[in-house]
Formats: sequence, C-alpha cells, structure tokens
Amino acid sequence: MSPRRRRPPLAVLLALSLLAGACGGDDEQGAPPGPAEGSDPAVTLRLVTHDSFAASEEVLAGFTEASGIEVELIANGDAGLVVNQAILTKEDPLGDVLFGVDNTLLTRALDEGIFVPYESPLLEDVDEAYLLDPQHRVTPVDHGEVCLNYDRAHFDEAELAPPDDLDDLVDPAYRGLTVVEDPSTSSPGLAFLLATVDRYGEDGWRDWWSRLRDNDVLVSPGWEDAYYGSFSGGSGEGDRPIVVSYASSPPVEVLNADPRPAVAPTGVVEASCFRQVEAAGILAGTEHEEEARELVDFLLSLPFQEDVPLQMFVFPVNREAQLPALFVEHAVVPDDPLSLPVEEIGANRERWVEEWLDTVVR
Amino acid sequence: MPAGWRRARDGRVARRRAVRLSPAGRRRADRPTGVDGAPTAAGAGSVEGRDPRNRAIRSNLAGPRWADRPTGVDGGPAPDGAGQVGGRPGGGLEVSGLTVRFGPLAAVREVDLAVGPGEVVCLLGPSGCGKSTLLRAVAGLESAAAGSIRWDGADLVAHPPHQRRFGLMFQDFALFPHLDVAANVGFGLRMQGWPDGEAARRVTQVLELVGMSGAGSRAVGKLSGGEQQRVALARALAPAPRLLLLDEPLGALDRTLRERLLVELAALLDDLGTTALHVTHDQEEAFTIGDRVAVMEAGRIVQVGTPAEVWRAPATPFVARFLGFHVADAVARGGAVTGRFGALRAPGVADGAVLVVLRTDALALDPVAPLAGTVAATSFRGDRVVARVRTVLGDLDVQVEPSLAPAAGDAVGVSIDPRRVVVLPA
Amino acid sequence: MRPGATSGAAARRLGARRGVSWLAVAAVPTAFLGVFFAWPVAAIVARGLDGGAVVEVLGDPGLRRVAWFTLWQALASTVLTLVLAVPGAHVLARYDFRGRRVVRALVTVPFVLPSVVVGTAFVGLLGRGGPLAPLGLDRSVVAVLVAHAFFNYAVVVRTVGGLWAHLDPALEESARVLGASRWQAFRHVTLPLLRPALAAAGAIVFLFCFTSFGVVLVLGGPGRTTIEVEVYRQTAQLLDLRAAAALTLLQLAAVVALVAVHARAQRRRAGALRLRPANEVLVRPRGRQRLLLGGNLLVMATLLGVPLVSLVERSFASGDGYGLASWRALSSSRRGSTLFVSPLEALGSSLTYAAAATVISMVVGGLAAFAVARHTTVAARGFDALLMLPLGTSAVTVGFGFLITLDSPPLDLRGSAWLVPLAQALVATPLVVRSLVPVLRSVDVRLKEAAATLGAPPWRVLREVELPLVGRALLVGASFAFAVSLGEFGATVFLARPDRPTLPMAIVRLLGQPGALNLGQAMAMSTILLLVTAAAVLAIEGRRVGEVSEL
Repeated sequence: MSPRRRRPPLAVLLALSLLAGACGGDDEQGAPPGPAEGSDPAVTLRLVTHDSFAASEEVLAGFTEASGIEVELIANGDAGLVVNQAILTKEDPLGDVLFGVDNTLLTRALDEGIFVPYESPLLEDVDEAYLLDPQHRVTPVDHGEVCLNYDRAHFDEAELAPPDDLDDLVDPAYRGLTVVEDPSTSSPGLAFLLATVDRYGEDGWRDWWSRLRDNDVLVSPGWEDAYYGSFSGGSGEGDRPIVVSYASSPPVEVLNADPRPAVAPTGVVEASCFRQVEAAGILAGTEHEEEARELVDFLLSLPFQEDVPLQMFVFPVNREAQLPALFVEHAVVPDDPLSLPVEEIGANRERWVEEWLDTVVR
Repeated sequence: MPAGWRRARDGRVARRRAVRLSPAGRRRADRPTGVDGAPTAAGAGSVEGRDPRNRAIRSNLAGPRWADRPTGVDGGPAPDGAGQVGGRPGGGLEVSGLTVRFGPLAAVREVDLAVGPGEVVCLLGPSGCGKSTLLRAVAGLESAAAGSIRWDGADLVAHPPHQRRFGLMFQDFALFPHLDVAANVGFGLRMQGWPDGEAARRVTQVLELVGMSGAGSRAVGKLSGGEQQRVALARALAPAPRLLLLDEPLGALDRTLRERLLVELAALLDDLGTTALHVTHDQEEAFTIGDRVAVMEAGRIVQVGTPAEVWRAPATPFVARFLGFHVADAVARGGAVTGRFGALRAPGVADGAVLVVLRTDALALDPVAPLAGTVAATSFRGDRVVARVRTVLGDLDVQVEPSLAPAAGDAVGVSIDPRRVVVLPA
Repeated sequence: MRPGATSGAAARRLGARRGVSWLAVAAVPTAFLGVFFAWPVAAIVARGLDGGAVVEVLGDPGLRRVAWFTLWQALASTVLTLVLAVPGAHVLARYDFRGRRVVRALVTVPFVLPSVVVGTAFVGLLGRGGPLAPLGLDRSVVAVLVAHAFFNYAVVVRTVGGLWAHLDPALEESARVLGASRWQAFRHVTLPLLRPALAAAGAIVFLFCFTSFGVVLVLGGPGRTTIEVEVYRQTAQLLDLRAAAALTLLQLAAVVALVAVHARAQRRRAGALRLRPANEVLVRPRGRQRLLLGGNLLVMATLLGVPLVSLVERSFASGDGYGLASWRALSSSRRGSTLFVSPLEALGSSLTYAAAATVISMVVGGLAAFAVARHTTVAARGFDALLMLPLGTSAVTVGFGFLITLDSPPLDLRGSAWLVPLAQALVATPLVVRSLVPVLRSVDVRLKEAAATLGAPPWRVLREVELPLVGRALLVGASFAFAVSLGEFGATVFLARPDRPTLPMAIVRLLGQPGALNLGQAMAMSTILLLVTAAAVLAIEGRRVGEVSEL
C-alpha cells in the first residue's frame, strides 16, 4: 500500500474542517441559506408571525409592487411562542409588525406594552365584535372558530344523532366517543376549555368536565394526534367520532381529498364553537412606523382578506371580503359563538388550566 | 577514528569470536567474521571496506541527512556525503545529572552516562530499576526533572521527541496496525519528506538488511513475532537515526528465536556502526550486544564497563548477585579473608568486615576442598554440566566437565580459586 | 551551578508548553460552548433567577411528581434500550451477513424522525382499532418506553458496536479456554471491556429520554409530563421565567449528576485495549450464532421495522386502496403559497443545515474528544462533563437565550441562517465526543510515541496515526452528527427561516391541517426523510479513511 492512497479522504476531511472553522468566523458570506438580500427596495418590513402563517405569494407581491415595501417573514414557533418572544425582546424588537396574537394571548402582550396604537381606516368594514382593543394597539385580521367536529359516517351507521350541544357529550349515549386536546399544551384545547367556561360559567364548568371525564373522554396533548390519531372522521385514523377541531376543518377535508367528495365527511357542532380572533400590531421600537401602518392596512384589505380562507383556513374580518366557494359550500360560520372578554381570559387563564388539569387528568 | 571508539570496536570483535555466529541467510554469509570467527584484518576499524552494498546503506543511514542537518528542518534529501560514522571527539550521547520523577517518586536519579559514536551501550538491570524510563527520557518521551541530555554537545532536554532524531524500538514493537510493512518502515522517511521513489528504495534496502525482503506489502497483523521484531528494527533504522534506542527489543520473543535474533541484532548493529542504547534485563543479551554495559539499581547507575570488566569485577554486591554470583560475608585480616567457605588469600585487602563475591568461574568440584556439600541437582548444558551444590553458604552453582559430572545426592567438595573472587567492602 | 539546573528549567518549560497546547486544543470547543450554549442559557436563567422560585418549584408536589416521573421513565427507557440493543450491537459488530451495512444504516433512521410522526405512527398501531391494540399499550408508560427504545436503538448500536467491532476475540476465547462459560466470558471479559462505550451509550440515551417531549406527551397519556414539557410550558407559553429558570437549573443539576456517574465509569478503565480491525473479527455466523442473529434481526424488524413500514404504507394510502396521490400532491398542492415548500427544497435545506452542523460538530467535538482523551486531569473531566450539558437542556431555553444574547455585533446572529446549524451542532457535538473518546482512549500510546521518535511532530502523529486508527469512529461520529442534525426539531423550528423549512418542519406543517392528502404527504415526506437518512449514513460510513477503514 502506498502512503499516497491514504491521503485524499483525510486531507479532504481536514480541509473541510478548517474551512468550516474559517467560515464559522465570518457572518453571512458563504452562509448556507442566508437571508435574502435582494436589490434593496425602499424598505423591508419584518413581519413576525407564527409558523402556520400563509399567504399567496402573488398577493404579497402585489403589496410590494404597490407600496415599494418588501415583506420579510419571521416565523418561529406557534402563536404563544411568538408573542412571548416578542415580549422577551421588546427592548430590541425582532421585527416591525406582529401578526398572530389572539384573544387568548392578548392581555399579556398589551400589559407588556409591546405594541403602538394604530387605527386603520379600513376598520370601518370590520364588525365591532372583532375589535379586541378599544385603544387599537392591535387590529383584528381574521377569526377562526374552535368547534367540536364529528364523523358523519359514524353517526349515520350508529343511527345516533350527532351531538347538538355540549350537554350531549356527557350523555351516556355518547360515552367514549370524544377526544379533546389538553389545554396546557394545545391552543385549540385551551379555546375549548374557554368555550366551556363561557357556556357553563365559573361555577359549572368543572362539573361538566368531571362528567365528561366519567363519560370516558380521551385527552390528547396536541391537535395532530387528536385529529389524525384518535378521530375517526375524514382523514382521522382513530375510532372516536367527536373531536375538538376548527369550524374550517370540514372544507379543508374536502380540499385535501382526492377525489373531492360532494359533502364534507365531517360536521361541526355549532353550539360548541369558541371564537378566536387573530390580530396584528405594530411593534414598539420599529424604525418604520409609517410603512408598518401600510402593512396593517394591507392585512385588512380585500386582496389579503380574500386570500385568508384558503391559506390559513380562517375567516376574514372584513365584511366586504368574498368567501371562496369551498367555504360557502362546506363551512359553517356560527352566528353567535361562545366567547370571553380578553381581560377575563388574561386574568384567569392559568388558574383555569390548573383547575382543568386537577379535574380531568390528575 | 577516535580512540575511545576504536577501543570499543576492538572489544566487540574480540567478543564476537566467543559468541560463535551461525550463518543466517545470505547477508550473514557475507560477513567476514563468519566461519572461523577470527577477526579479519578489516574487522577492527573499518566496516566499510567489506561489502559494497552494506557500505551504501550505511552511508545513507549514518550520512549527513541525520547527522549534520539542523534540528527540525524538514527538507528534501541531502546529497550523500562521505560514509562517516563517528562524530567529533567527545560527541555522541552525554547524559548528566538526569533525574526523572513520577510524582514524588524518582524513577531515574542523577544519572550520568555517555554513549560514544558507533558505540553500543546496554542498560542492564532488573525490572523496575528505571532503565526503560531512562531510555524514554533520552527519547524525549518522559520529561526530565533535572539534568541534561546532550548530543554532540547540544542540550536536547527541551526538544520534543520528533526533533531529537533518535530511533526507538519498543519491546512489543508498536507497529502501526493500519499500515503494511513497507509503510511502517517508510514512516520515518515520510516524516522527513523523502520523495516517494527514494523512500521506496530505502525501504527495500532496509527490509533486505533485516532479512525481510519482499515482505513490504504484508499486513503487520499477520506477521510472526520474529518478523515483527525485524520490521520494528527496520522501521527504527530506516531514517538513519543518530542514536538507536532499543527497549527490550527481544523481550517479547520465545527463547530460541530470541537467541537467534540476538546474534543477528548484534551483528547488524556492528555492521552498520550504529550508535545505540539498549535496555535489557538479560545479562547474556547485554554482554552479547553491548560494547559497554551500565548496570542500574533503583534509578541509579551503579557500574559502567565493558562486559568483561563488569563480569570480572562487579562493583557492588547488587551487581554481583544480579549476575548470578554468590556473595558471602567474610572478615579480612592480614592479607586473607575468612568466612564460612574457609580462608582465601587476599593480598592488599584492608582488615575488617568484607563481602566476597564468588564468581562462577571461581568454583570447581574438588573432593578434597574444605567446603563440603551435597549435589542437589544437575543440569546438562551441552558442553558443560551445572551442578547445584548445597553447602553451608547456601546453594552454589558449579560448572563441571560433562564427563566428570556428579549425580544428585553425591557428596562433593567445592574449591574456590582465590584469583577469581572479588572482595568488596561490607 | 550544575548544568542540570538549566536543563530542568527547560524541561519545565517543555511541560508548560504541553499544557498550553492542551489549552489550545480545548479552546475552540470551549469558546463554541461558551458563546452558543453557556452564555445564552446563563442569560435566560439570570433573567428569571431568584432563590424564592427555586424553593417554590422544588417544593411544589406537582413538580416533584413530574421530576420523579421524568427520572424514572428515563432510567427505565435507558435500561430497556440497552437490553434490546446490546445484542443487536453484538451481531452487527461481529457477524458477517448479507445486507449487514444496510441494516446498520436502517437502524439509524428512527433517530431522525420527528416525534410527532412517530407519535401518530405508534398511536395508529397501538390505539383502539390499530393492529397492535390487543397489547393494551395505548397511552401507557410501556408505550413511551418502547418508543424511546425505537428512537435510541441506533445510539447503542453505534456507540457500543463501534468499540465491540474492534475488541480482540482472542480475549473472550482465552476466557473460554480457561473454563468460562459463554455467559461468564461475556460477563467477566467482554462486558468490562465494553464498559466505557456502554456508559457513553447509556448516558446519551438517558439524556435523550430525560429531555423527551413529544413521545411522552403523545404516548404517555394525559398527566404524564416531563420537566422538559414544563420548561416549554413555562417559557414558551406562560413566559414565567422564574419557574423556567428554576426548572432549567433542576435539569442541569440532573445532567451534571449523571455525567459525574458516567465519568466515574469511564475512569475505571485505564490502559489501552488491543484493538483489532473490525473486518478481522467478523465471522460468518454458525449454529447458535445464526439463532442469535435471527433473533436480533427479528427484534429489529418488530421494534424498528413495523412503525417504519406503517409510515411508508400510509404514504401510499389513497381512498380505500393504494395510490400515488400523496406523492403527486407533494409538488403541486398549495403551490404559490408562502407556506408551500417543495420536498426537494426542504430536502436541500435539511441537507445543507445538517452538513454545516456536521462539520461544526466534527471540528468542535473532534478537538474536544482529543483534549478529553489525552488527559485525565480534573479539568479535563470537568470539560468532558460540560460537553454533555446541551443534551440535557431544553431547546426552548437555548432558543430564548439566543434571542436575548446574540442580538448585537459582533454576534448579531438573530435571523441568520447560521443559527440553525449552530444549534444543531450543540446537540450533535456531545454525540461526536462520546463516539470518539472511548476509541481514542484505547489507541495504544506507544504507537504515538513510536511515531514521535520517527520524527513526526504532534500534528502529524494525529494525522498519520491517531486519525487513521480512529477513522472508523470518526465516520461513525460524523454520520451520527449528520443524522441527529437532520432530525433535530426543537431548536430548528425555532430558528429556521419560514421560507427555508427543513424536512421535519415541512412534515409537521403538513400535519397541522386536516385532510387525507395532508396526512399522506406528511408520510411521503417522512419516507423521503428516512430514505435520505439511510442513504447519507451509508454514504458517510462507506467512505474509507485510511486503509484501515474498518478499524
């Protein structure tokens, strides 16, 4: 064996290592996928949002074209994580506008003063019911309802009426049929807990939950395993026909099926719906407040509002926005969903979760 | 030629005769000290005159590459110079006041030792006496707590091992398992940046020298013990180290192999004129290989001399016992020493308590000798028989002509030749 | 003055220089861990630290219960994983059979899957109506332990098998000749020799299970949460930094305690093993060995194969039969949305990040391993322990720490793509160190001395002797680092830019919406992820480092 043959792999390895050491020192050059540093338009706004934010690229491009403002998305984690990151970094904000704070998370963000007020002229097209903050520190953008979904096929076969109300769930006829998410680890789980608090009041919700527990409810830590793992309807692979999901889930089931069915395989229990309103706010400390206002206006404008249903599977707050056919056909928008004032949620959320854990789990 | 070196060579060739070399392979057959064992005219001083091939190797091995290049420079091969072995007078290895500590324990204590150019010095001692530590310190593998290690006058203590240009051969050979024989042997050459072709030629030469021609592509894991020893030696020799350090190089081998390779090693070191420091616990090995022998006890060197000097006159009771001699208590008075062995003439010895070293060659069986005993056992050694005789002194090993050998249980007398005993102060 | 005096001083200088070179080698990993781990974590802990909170948290019976569950499930998972995987490590290290390399690569695959994918796979298998429902393991601790074994099987096979493949069989044979039974020979000869690798594997598996998040939540059922989940809730959801700091300290204390135990186990063995090239110890199994091999392949097929196959199967599910709808949808559905990511792009991001993380962790971990392996001083052991801490720290703690520390020049890395490989390297580095140290420690020191006396300066000793001898372990470490970086989710999801998601991120995104096509696409992407992982492991480990590629 000649020594020469031994050299290349090691040399390559060492060279790579050295290269990496050298590259590690400098910042962006030669970085793997570095931030896009395109030809510098007037301003680039950083939109801080959660990782399920979605919009059509076309719609965003239209905004940039019209305003000359480039939008860079910063999305790390779910809504709770994003709001908390924003609070943690308020001295040196991560971006200019935050989208995704909802009524279950809002109090803390407002208390910490991370937003500066802005009243968009487009708010005149938005129902007052969606306004979360009279001082306009945040602007509502969309709403989505967390509702019980049920498996149509199951109830047809079992010759049992689908649940009509939360009361049905604790009926022995519905024993062992329900899967819910843990409100301590899941956002729809928390919304559903709030729904029961609104429905049964501070004095009655625990009693309802202990009866649900006795009726063999299954608790999952997150939406994914509840819906895919335990729910029997639609794309669910489990055997429980009632799940806590969204009002938009039936149309999405239709959308994401091949071939698409004429009727959604799942239905929504309207009386169980709890409204979540998602809002955007201008982060205090931004150097581009003027442009940030333009971006907030854009979020309320028809192009974005009409894009929202099929991108994020929620409903627009702008009453002028047209719903896509899919939603018109398959979605249920409850007229008078369950809801709680933002301040009440903020003041009691942690206690309710603890009490829920004591009632249902421990 | 420096006088000291010549003396050393003379001593060595004289001993070679006694060793009775057996021809071992083609290379061995070329040796002038061969069949009759008599020193040739060229034998004493000039190895170069004998075999053109060996001379070529030697001029490479001992040539200017190692010897005259500044330390640490890693250039290409230098043109071959004169095949001169020796350094300047007073050159070679010079260790003085060397102490090596392991924590509070001093494994080597204030050792002074010199190895002249072309000389082979054996460090002899029981295990744990610090001889390997001393060797490793010279190699740079242990750091010195005090003292100096000089080569041609330049202190190397602060030099890491790779800058000392010494070769080291380990007891268990420490061949690189991931390299084949040729790559093992060529390792040092590669470290020096030899061009591939030249290095390959050298590897072939050195492998031939150790009798491993054609083994270059073999895996070291598949070699026998003796073959590993040869490859390890070739690897140490290939870069022509200015000093070769050998740490029990034969210790891992079985007896027969050991004896054969011992002779070969001695001859090879002699042929190449290599300067070497050789560590062993085996006196026969030390006496065969070493021009001089340094005996170590508990971290100190207690005696240095030619094998004959050490054997003839052990300097301390420790050395005497280590060489297998009996040491008896005695009292000196008026030119005689008296002990349980009787009385012996010892002119010039001062009165008082002394120790008497009874060398094996001082003892003989003699029915009328005053020291009586019983033969406990005999062992046949071919040209002689060693009888173990139980006496008042303890057991004494006495060498006897086979034809006169006693049987176990025989009552015998042991005579002591007063000219062959050594008297040491008690 | 005797000449010796000056030489003694020179010798002392030499000693000092060796100390300095150790510092130099350790400087890179120390700086890396200091800047990207210690500083961010210390900053976030400091924000919330107050003595009262620590006392409160430690005194809360609910949290004590969580801590106790965290601890015992991690211990039980570690034991189960070792029991299942050590025989597997044996057959993969010792037996020569067709497909051995592919099996070795395949057992690594589970390691990279997002826990939510594995969670739904296990729920699908074990839940009511699933094929394994009769076992009654749905929402049980046993399901958690089995899933942990599923994830961590590879850790044991790689870490323990890596050393086992080089142990001289003559050692065990000589014990057998001395009258030891097969079991006694294993118990008294092989097991003690393997102890450093067993301890390393055990420590890593324990840490992974100790900080387990998704698996425990999904499979353990309600009420079974780990400290990691609590850290996440307190930090990410409640922003209660006081409680989070106290919990983080609790986690760190547990990791330090574990590492101390581990270091003791490591220290007991002194001296080099006579390692042999792996290909020399491979045997074709005969008789009882065939039985052992078959049994272990069966365990692998059951434990690892069934969930993986069900995952692949579901990617082809279409209506009531099978089809390619999900695979076709991968490149078409939702195109034009900011959330759309083609599988190829996600794969590209994943591979780029993982390659960068591998290089970083090989440099950092390699240097650290050499520093740790060469020294047995207290400082070196402390350093060794420090290297393990990232494995036992919540990704959200590190991520939040990044946010508040790496935000100003010269280290303004917020939003930088470098954060992802840096965070992945934090997790991968301890694995590299643990794969390398046992093998480095067993390199015969005389080989290095021999090289030095032959004129090799230290860096050439490293390059010519140590690297080739540990080449195999280096590759194993590299493929390990690559796999763990590919699969890293907790920190990546936090740091990666939304327009450049990794495969696991894309998979989890797909699972965020209902619909059969979404589920099918998620499974199809998971299939891609596992194929790519297996291919990458095969490619990396198939490289030959030096001629002794099997050593």
